[in-house]
Amino acid sequence: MRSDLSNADVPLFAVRNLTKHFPVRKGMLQHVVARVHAVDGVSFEIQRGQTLGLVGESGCGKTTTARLILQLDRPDSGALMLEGKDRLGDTRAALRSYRRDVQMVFQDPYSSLNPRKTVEQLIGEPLRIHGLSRGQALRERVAAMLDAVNLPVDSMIRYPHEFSGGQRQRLGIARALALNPKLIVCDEPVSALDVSIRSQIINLLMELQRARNLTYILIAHDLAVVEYVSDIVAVMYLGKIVEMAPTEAFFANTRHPYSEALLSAVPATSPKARRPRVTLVGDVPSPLNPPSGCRFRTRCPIAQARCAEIEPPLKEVAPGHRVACHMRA
Amino acid sequence: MPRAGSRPQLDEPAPAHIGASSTDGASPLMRIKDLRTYFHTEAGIVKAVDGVSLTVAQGEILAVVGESGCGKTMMARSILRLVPHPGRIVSGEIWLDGQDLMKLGDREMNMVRGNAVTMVFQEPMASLNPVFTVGNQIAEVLVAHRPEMGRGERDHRVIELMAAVGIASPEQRIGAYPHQLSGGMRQRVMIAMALAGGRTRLLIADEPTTALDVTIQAQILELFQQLQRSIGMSVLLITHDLGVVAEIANRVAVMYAGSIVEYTDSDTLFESPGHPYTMGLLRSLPQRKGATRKAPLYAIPGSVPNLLDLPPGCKFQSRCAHAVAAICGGDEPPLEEISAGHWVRCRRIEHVRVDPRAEAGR
Repeated sequence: MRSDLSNADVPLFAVRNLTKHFPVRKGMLQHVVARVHAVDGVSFEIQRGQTLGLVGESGCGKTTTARLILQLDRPDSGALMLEGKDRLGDTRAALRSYRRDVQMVFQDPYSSLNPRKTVEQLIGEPLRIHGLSRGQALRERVAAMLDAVNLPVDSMIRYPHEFSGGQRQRLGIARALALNPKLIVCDEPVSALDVSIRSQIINLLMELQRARNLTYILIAHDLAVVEYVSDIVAVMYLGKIVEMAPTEAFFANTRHPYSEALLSAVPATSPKARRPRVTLVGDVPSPLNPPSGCRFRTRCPIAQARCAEIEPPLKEVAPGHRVACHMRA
Repeated sequence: MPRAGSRPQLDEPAPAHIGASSTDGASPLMRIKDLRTYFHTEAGIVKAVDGVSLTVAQGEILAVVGESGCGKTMMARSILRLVPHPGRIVSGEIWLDGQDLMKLGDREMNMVRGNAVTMVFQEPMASLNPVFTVGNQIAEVLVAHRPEMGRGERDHRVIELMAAVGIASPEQRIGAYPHQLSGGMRQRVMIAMALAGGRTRLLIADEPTTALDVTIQAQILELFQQLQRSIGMSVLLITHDLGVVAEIANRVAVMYAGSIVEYTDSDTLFESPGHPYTMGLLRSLPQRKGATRKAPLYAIPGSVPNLLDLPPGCKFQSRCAHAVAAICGGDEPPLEEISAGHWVRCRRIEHVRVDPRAEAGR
């Protein structure tokens, strides 16, 4: 038994210098001809009960980061610190317990639930696999989980197709909760849902966080949702974190030009709130061959010559507010 | 000023001149009257579009907003008479330039489709043929609708079109295959195809930016506005995203379960919405800037009703805090004009408007 006192200032979860390059192989001998720099030296930490919002466009590496955190892919280097212990080199048995502590909620509740299993089987599966419960006790535990996500207990004997999108996402959350995890990685949990259902799910996630002192990593592209839910915001671009700050500081005092462009691209909430956009030119460059120096410089409105030469480090500009930009930090 | 009918013999009008006469933005380009598209399924009749009437003004962006299954896509496809089996347009009139599209023969309709009225879909990768170059696919539209064009002229026009929708170095991209382009570029190709005929009066865009990243979405929305200004084209924008509506729409129709429940200009919709559903949608958006975190977000209770089994009367009543069975049951409330140009389908409007904040447990 670990005492809670000794953990007081250890963050619940920390990622140190996480890196993953996917080799691109070609030809008969399968030589490595290139590397996709999917995640390149990502570090952050989260305190217990907090939410880190991970933001970025498609291809920025946020989903790869999630897969690395869950150890579904093996990082090339780095550390995954859960309650102060690096769990990357875990043995198989230790990995099982790691996966009990770190769970995931997926974007698409339609494709992440096996259509041929009943709700009881779906939610009970993780409990069975980890040998935590069986028989009547298992059923009771599933019923408690359904209750926690506000689904009727008689859902147990039903199949996923009998539920609406919002209800399926509730099932996905119930399944993630079943093992009593410490950390839940939510990968775009509401972006496949309709507007009127979205807020129901956001409210549920926040309610559960309060009630169970859960820690979340929320991967999202919708900055309004991120602002609402997160304590810390981290912006990724081409495999790197370019800005990270407590939510209030991030939105009040955005420093990185890419974060500015992302914020400015968020549609207005009313026609009166329309404002001139900072429209970025072009698309995200290929992660196969990221630009030299600062990776954002090819689309950056304020890039200078040195941005092409020296890679900007993530510098602290205010307590907890870090920015990787030569011009702004 | 040439007015493009279904079979105009006019030469290519310079894009900048199309619609230049439409200084009065209110002159209607298209009038949809009581459109009904039903799906006859084994389980019963699904009224996907249930009596929709709309006008699209010359040079305006009209947004049709609603959640999945509200009928917005079927409404759009009905305009082009592209309703998939087992759906059928049961009744309705669609007037464009003094012609009812519903009465046109198949061949005449083919001349309207992709020409005066064109459509852009959500997922460009699914609408483009992966084995032909994008230049080829844009040229195909010209072959169909501008058969008088020679080959050289056609190639020249394709490059011109690609440049017009903001594709950089079109001379090189003309030979690219769809998979070689990014999502935003593919959507630009789709828009170039929609404009290729050169006589586009109405562009129907079905969730054109939903599959795109926010920074790319901003680029595409900007392109729509630019086309609206430069060639006076009207856009019927189908979307679920109120943010997109707030950004670029001139007027908005809110759809719920096959019917329009509110119809007005965008300023009015966002500032003084009249229908409880619209109010609920607006309130459930997390407010940027100084969001009072930790207070739960407003959520519309329940979910969209099953279209096979709708309650009699107002379709929103089961989720509405203002509903009173004696008033909202019975027959469906009519779409009524509550102030100039502001139409709302609600019998409890007096009550709703007096106390909009009273709505469901805040």
